[in-house]
Amino acid sequence: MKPVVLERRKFLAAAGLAWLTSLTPAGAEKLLASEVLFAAAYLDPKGAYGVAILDEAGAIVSTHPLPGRGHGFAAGPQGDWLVAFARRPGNFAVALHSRMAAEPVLFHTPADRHFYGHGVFSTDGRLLYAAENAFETGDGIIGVYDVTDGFNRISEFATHGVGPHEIVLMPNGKTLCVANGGIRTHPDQGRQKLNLPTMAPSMVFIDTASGALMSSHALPARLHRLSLRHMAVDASHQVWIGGQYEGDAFDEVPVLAKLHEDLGLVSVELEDRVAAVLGKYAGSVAMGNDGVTLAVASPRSGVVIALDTLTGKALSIDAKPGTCGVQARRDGFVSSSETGRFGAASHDLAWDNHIAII
Amino acid sequence: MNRLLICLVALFVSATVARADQDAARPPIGPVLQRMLTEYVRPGYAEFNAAATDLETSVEALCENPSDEKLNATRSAFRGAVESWSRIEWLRLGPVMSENRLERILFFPDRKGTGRKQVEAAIASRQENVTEVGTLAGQSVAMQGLGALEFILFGSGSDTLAAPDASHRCAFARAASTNLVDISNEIIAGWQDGTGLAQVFLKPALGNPLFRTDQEALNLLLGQMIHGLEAIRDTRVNAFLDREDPGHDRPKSALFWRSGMTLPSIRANLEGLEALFNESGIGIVSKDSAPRLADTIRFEFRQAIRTAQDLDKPVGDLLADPGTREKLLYLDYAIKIIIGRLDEEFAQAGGLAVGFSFGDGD
Repeated sequence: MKPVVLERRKFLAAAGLAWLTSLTPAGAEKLLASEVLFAAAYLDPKGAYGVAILDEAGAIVSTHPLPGRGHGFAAGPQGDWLVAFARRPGNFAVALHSRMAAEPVLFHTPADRHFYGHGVFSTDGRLLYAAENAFETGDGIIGVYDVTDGFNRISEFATHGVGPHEIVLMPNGKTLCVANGGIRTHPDQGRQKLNLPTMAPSMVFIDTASGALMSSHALPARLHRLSLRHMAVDASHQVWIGGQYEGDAFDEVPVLAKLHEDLGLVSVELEDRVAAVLGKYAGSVAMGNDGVTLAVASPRSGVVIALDTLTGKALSIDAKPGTCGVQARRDGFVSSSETGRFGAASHDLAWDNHIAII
Repeated sequence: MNRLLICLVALFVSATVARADQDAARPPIGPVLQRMLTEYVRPGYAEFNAAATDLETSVEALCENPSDEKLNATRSAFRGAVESWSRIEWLRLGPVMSENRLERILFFPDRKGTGRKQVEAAIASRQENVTEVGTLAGQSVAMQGLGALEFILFGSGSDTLAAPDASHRCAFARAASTNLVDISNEIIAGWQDGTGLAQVFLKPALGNPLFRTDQEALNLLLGQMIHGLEAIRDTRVNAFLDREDPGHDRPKSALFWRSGMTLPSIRANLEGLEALFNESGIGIVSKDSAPRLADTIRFEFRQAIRTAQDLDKPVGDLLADPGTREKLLYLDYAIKIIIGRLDEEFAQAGGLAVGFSFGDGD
């Protein structure tokens, strides 16, 4: 597996003159000096939402307004596009092009759908897949958007579950892996969870060519309240999934699971001291540049753990209040908090739950 | 990897030190949690248990000797149970969150009216498994609680309860009210001294499944209030009130419209969260940095509660009259104001993120 960070430097390489001239001189300097760039959604002190591009040190290169609260991102494989998705139940997405920073493309779900805050590009960069809610029926949907036609929505397929959250394209470039969190919501009721007694999360593989379900995987019934939401893929193509437990705080349940296309879905036990600090709640996960080290962040406790996926041992436990965003750096991980911290830097912004590498 | 480890350890240590400094400057959360437990949580569930027991007694008397008078007494006991449940229902913590207890007491919103259909069908076909608490407790959550009882006691055909031939319907009501007593007893037992919960609830610590630090405990406590207020607005007021267009109002989607308890329940919801704010003494968090903030919040709770109190008519009438409909919009707004006050100013005074997620990683 190629190192994630080096592979993702393309946005930087592709950033053209128009982007540079749109920046402040200080921002342009940071852009040119940085090996990698990160993107994260924020809320500013005046109550306005946006997405920020940051350099390796956590300094802000540029900011771009969003019409509402953002959440996760999809970065184009050619390093040209960065798409910021609305946090549920928002229905907008904003696509920034590296050569046309001043002209973002704003697009929406159809009226009877909303985004879940996550999406991913096809390998050739021509299509964008987005997790959506068909909220009148509660069916999970992958919306398919044509990048070459102004992000026009051209089709959709079912996720065969409720509440799809993060989606990733498997390394074969053909299979989507979708985490169906299992929680039913309806925009008329805000973010209220409507089906906790009967929730049934699942992990599914979907063939992007046909939209057909290839396989669906669930944990044992006693774990039906563990909402499977965020994931990262390791060097051996195993998917590591961070859950959020909606049951009794005293239940002895795992917070992590791993999925292999052939071996299926199994829960992952952590050492007691490690499990305890996560509070049965993972807000984001990221795979390290080595393809082996997994970071799991819990906004409940502000803890980021780094886990050796080969041995299951925790390499570090790092606690900073309000931390949730986590992403690979060249070495180790960078994290962000809702109190303004991004890496070692501090900003007067509240960072949302995810960091993307672009 | 060694360099990374050293880095991470160094960061961890410095963060821990910084956090300890911050916490030292803030009032400890322990006494707040203690008061919350003894002045809000336990009395709240005890009141609900007493009201459910009253209801059970009334239903038994009605079933034994049906009459209009006994039916009225039972309906009034139902309203009492709704009122006391509404005061404590937004506490989403502890035993109420296990075994589907919350949903078995009240399943709402029920978008497709599944509960009503199931209850109607059970009555129409004289389904046997709903007349004994042992079998009812294993049925769908929507058939077990206050929603089911409201239909039994106020829905179409409920007047037959006053006549001698309604023994099945009455037995259903009896099983459902006993079920509420049982569930509330389980919740009370789960919060008693000596339980694991009562111990960890008072002491944030590493390895504590609820919260590790004082800040986390404050976050959770404040989150209970904010999420409760959001839910009152989103799932209760907005269930029947369309903020944009009166033509889209839905009086029959209101919770408890049959018993006329829609607004009394919302009022009791707000009183419950006001009591949580006042009785826990959480206001101490903002005492130094924003000395008047707690009083402002108390005032705004009072305003919202008074507004709900004035709206003492069936929800259909309130929506039909432009004057009272305007007051409903104000109630919606008043709740929003309190959310903003807690989410922004109070959170900031307590050293938490402003206007953000309260541990909601989405």
